[in-house]
Amino acid sequence: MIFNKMVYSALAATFIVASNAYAEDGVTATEILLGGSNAATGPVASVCYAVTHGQLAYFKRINEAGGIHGRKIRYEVLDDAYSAQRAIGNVRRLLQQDKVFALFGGCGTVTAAGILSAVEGTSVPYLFPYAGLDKLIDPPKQNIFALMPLYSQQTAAIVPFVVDKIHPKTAAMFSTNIAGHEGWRQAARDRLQAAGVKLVIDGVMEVTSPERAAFVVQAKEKDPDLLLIMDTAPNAARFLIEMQRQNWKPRMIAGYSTLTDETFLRAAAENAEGIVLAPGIVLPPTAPQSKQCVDDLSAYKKELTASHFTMYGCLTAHVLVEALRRVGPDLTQAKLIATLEAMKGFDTGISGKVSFGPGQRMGMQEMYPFGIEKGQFKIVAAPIGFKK
Amino acid sequence: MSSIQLASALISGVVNGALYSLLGLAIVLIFRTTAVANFAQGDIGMLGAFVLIMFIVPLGLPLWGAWIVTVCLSGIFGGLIYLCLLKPRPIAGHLNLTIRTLGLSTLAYAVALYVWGEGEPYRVPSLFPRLTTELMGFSISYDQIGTVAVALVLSIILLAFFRFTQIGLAMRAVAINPDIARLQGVNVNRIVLVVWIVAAGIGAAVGLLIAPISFLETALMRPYLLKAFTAAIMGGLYSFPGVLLGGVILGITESLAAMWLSVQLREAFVFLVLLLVLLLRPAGIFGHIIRTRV
Repeated sequence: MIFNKMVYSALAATFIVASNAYAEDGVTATEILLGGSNAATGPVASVCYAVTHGQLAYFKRINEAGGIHGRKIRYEVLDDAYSAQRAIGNVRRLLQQDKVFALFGGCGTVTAAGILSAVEGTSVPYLFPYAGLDKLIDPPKQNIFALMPLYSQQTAAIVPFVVDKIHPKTAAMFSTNIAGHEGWRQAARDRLQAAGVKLVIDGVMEVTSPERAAFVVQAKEKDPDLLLIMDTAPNAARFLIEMQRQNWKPRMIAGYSTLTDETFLRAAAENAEGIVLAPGIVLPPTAPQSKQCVDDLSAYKKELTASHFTMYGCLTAHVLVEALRRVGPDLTQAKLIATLEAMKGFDTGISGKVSFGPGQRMGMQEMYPFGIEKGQFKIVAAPIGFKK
Repeated sequence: MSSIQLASALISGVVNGALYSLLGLAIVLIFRTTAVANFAQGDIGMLGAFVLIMFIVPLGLPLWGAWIVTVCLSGIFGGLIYLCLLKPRPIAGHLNLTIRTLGLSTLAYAVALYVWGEGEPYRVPSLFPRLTTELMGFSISYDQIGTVAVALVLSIILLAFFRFTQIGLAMRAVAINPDIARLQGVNVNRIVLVVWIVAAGIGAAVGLLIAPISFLETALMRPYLLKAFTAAIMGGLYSFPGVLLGGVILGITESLAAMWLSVQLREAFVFLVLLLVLLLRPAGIFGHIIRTRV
């Protein structure tokens, strides 16, 4: 009887040790726990939460196929309502209470800035938020990786492309006043000046106010050839609707990647036809190469519509899963970071090739120029590379 | 500021002002008859717009018919609000009743966000063509003309209703003194019910005018509600003509401030004007100080 008790105790101890064999937070024999903070409610929820849907849809398919090295991915997302304070609170909870393996995804420059302040200097990977915030990767941080080109990079790429296309003499720029706006506005000013284009308006718009009439009147007064709108998708669409109301439009409108979302397309409709050019990170859902992501989304929730944001979610999940596969069964935060750092020329099939490096935390090196034709997004030229 | 900018600012101001006036009129209507500040007035309009595009338009009615049905349904909803939320335990006091409307506003917003939030913003069809016309060198769109026209017609109808109909007279009597109105044979509860129905209908009409211009989203009416209260206070909380004028003054003021000073200073300027009005005319432009005997 004593011998039986000893055997049972030894077995129990072995079981306890085995199940806790992974000292790494968020990793067990059967599961990888990821955490995220995203706007499920609030002014950008309709676009931002689509990123999470795209990610969850991809993870669902991977989990149904057995996971990665026998581990399924569990992704917990907390609502920050596009508030930096709430995002910081969410991150603290995810790291201190839930002890996630990595922070993944999320959307919004404002909240990314908050999350950055909470994770910088820790060993927890913070991966691929949809946020064109310069501070995320400039200067590079050991544990932070981005796939969303900075808005300043996007602006620096799209402006020369558009200028080459239409040879404007004048331009007007309206930017929403979120964190980092000085960066992309300066990038636009520099490129316009280099091309000899006169900037007649350099306006700043309040992100929380949908009022755009006053700005459109200013623009109409100056009648620029090129209009740069750096704004959220719904507010950019309001700008175009107001332009229609004012019976004015420029020769071309350009902006950053928010103009490649279906929310903008749906809301701006005929007002955007043929006059919008914007840089897209991923292929549109209508592209043949996007079929897997679209099918995943449909299998996850039938009522969801594929969009630029769900495609971005799919892209980031794809890159993360690939990195987790490459790490192997012995998964740690340090190994994931090292594996990402070593990733070169990874072809996702739905975007430009992904490459990171010791001093390079931005994985995307090129973007597709999107136009709008017959109510659909269309890639109008070869991918545009970013200058370092 | 050029003449074109000035004209555009004035047009924009008059359009917004008309919307603030109408919404403020609904607020004053309820406040005068019940002494309750209805914080759910805006969300009733928001819900009305969602009902239009989610349930009524798909029925295939012509848009003007869908509008009328939506306004009527919103009126019924307003009546239900009174019967279920405000009529029970009226002796709880005006503050308690006002807080109930605040709770209703929060609830309505949360439910709408849960049900429809994910797909917003939504494009709402407009009664008016999406075309513009040139007038003395500046553009004015048909939906701007239409919005002002609808607001003007509704305001005239309502003012005429209060002045020239029996029920309008009864409403005014209840607004002045419900106890004496009751002694005169007025069914006060029924009048208050009618007030809520009319106010909810007005709220829905305002929501249906705003949504095609601004896209429909759950927070659609929030900025308008605050401005409507401001218009009501500026005009004098007991004055119908006052709130109509207050709304237009407010709309024009903020539009000119946005164009002349800065868009970022627009809100600050509006509230500066409100403070000035209250300092110089504490009861509002058309209001008068009411003395009560204790």
